[in-house]
Amino acid sequence: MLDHLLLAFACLAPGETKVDQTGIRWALPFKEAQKRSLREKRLLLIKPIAFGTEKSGGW
Amino acid sequence: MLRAGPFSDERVIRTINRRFVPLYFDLSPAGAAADGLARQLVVKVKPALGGPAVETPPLLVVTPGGALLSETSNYASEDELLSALRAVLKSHPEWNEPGEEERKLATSGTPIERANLLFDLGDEAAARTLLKESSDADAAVLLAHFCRLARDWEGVEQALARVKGAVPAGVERDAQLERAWLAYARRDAAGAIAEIGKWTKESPRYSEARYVVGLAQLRRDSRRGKLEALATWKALIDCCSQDPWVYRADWAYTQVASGSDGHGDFSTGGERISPLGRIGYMGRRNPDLDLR
Repeated sequence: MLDHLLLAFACLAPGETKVDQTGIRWALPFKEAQKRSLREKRLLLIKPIAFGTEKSGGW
Repeated sequence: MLRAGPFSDERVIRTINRRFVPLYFDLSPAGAAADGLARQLVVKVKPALGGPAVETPPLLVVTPGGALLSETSNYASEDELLSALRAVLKSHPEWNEPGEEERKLATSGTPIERANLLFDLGDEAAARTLLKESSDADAAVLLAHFCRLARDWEGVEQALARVKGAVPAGVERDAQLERAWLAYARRDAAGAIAEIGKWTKESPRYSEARYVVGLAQLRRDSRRGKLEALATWKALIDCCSQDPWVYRADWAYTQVASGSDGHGDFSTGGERISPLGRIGYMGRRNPDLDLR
């Protein structure tokens, strides 16, 4: 069930900040997300965070 | 905090993964997830987010060209967010077209694949109908799962009755887990724990099982049960930090440990109760605590 939602482990190169992978398949950074949304004809769903993010992928 | 809330809801996760390109970023240029281009776009469509002190930002739906189509409060419930996502897709069908792979699935996929697709797209009734037509055990277990997400416990029971005594190995754990959720919803805490209490870490869906064990322990309504539940969730969070169930567990843990009665939103007021280190707004009442 949820297992098909699990994602491949993903890292961001700068500073090795990990991408949260607790369910939603996040597309980071913006440039990649924008490319993907154009290619797949999908809307961007953007969550701006105002109270801090961590290298571990936490926020 | 959407991650301990709507973003840990399977229906929301499925909708987002199926139809959107999701992105989060830190508004602060100093944050680990800072993203200058994302900030530029967001401040353009929501200038208030460009200031030095901002209110908790909403969730934004934006075209790749930068047009803001919808926004949903950070404090929305799962149902509110799901409705908002489905509404924006309905009002902008040009962004809701099936991809090539989806078209293939819809015509030549297995009943399980097609039911999953229908469910992701919000057609839960059609997904259930399709699964009811199949005599396979895996279809019956998935039907039980969909019924459970809709809190249709009679439906769960009927679906599981179809696989009684003849559960193929591949779906045995899934069936056990659905039976455990059913027992928990029916206030049979011992029954829920008996189904899944001894699973090992190697078991598929171990984290979800531990989450349910914690819920059942809490439902024993004793001080010991509460402490056992907190210990179960804490251990789950410690062992599986990148698991979809970890925020659900942190949500339940924080609520129970803070003594919140769950009426309305709650905040830790600066205390670090959350094992994940979340602070401030801790979400609405976790609906799993009252599941029935």
